[in-house]
Amino acid sequence: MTLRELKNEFLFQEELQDNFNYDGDGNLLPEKERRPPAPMEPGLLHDSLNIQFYMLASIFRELKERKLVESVEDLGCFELCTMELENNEEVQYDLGKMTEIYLRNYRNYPELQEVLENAFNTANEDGIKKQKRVWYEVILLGNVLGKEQSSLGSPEIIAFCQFQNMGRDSKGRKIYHFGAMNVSPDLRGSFLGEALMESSLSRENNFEDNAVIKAECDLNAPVTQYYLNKAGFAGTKITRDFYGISKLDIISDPN
Amino acid sequence: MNESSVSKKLTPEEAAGLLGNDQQVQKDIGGHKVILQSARKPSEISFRPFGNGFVLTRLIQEEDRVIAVFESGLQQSEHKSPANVPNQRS
Repeated sequence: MTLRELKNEFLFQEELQDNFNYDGDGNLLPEKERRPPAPMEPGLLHDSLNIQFYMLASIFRELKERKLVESVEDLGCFELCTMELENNEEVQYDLGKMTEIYLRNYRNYPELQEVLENAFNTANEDGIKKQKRVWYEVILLGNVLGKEQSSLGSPEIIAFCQFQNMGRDSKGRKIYHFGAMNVSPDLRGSFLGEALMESSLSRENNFEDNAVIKAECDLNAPVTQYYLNKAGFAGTKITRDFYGISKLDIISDPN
Repeated sequence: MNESSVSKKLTPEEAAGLLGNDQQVQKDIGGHKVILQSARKPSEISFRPFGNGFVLTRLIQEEDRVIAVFESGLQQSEHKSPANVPNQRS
């Protein structure tokens, strides 16, 4: 579906909604007589949500390619939040949403689903105990259309990554591990992942001058070129990842 | 690392020129030893330079090949991977 088609679909839905607020002659009804939006069925809500996801992602991609936006927050409909791992309902809810995205990204590896989910949950439980992990989340805001109530309802997590405090090196510099970078599979190719990386890495570097950041990446993934060529990382060795697949260890060392 | 890295300043044309028709060459650029290596795709890069104090600082994508640039003399911290959740695959 093209951006134009998406916009038309979206405008059509908006028009339908607006029709509830006018009388048969096209005059705006008094506020008391306006009909509240009909509750949408889960399936319809999901479709509507996806259309708006695609629209916003397409717009972001377009603007990012033209270098008209830098941060994920520049468009006004996404917010970059941090979440420290604590044992409370809000954190558990967000982790549940992250797990959904994470498992959808690995849906082509059904044999690994259970192992992956366990690894994800164990890492988070460990993080809650040690309080050394911070998640960065990109949130799609609920009121993206400038309305008090949009069909998006509550804000949605659409991308996330993690920084883990690994202690300090012999020079006293903080060492972070950057990983678990995931973007909702609905939004692949939108540059939101790249923008999330840029913004979160930049924030971590600003929080701690001279921090060393380590990560692992898939050598064949396009993002590896971003890490090496733009984000200041250098590859240090080849090791095997969680699945026995070769990966490149990378490090951003300011000195 | 960025400021001392010489490979970041290399243009794709310069890298291709230094490499010529060889699969791998070692050069001295601004006091840094640099190894340029050509491969058809990233998974075919040979990482032998890693054991000799070199780190991979650049991947230059060309039409039918990729040029990997390794540099020596860049200080590295000892790496210890955590028990971490893997990144998504692309």
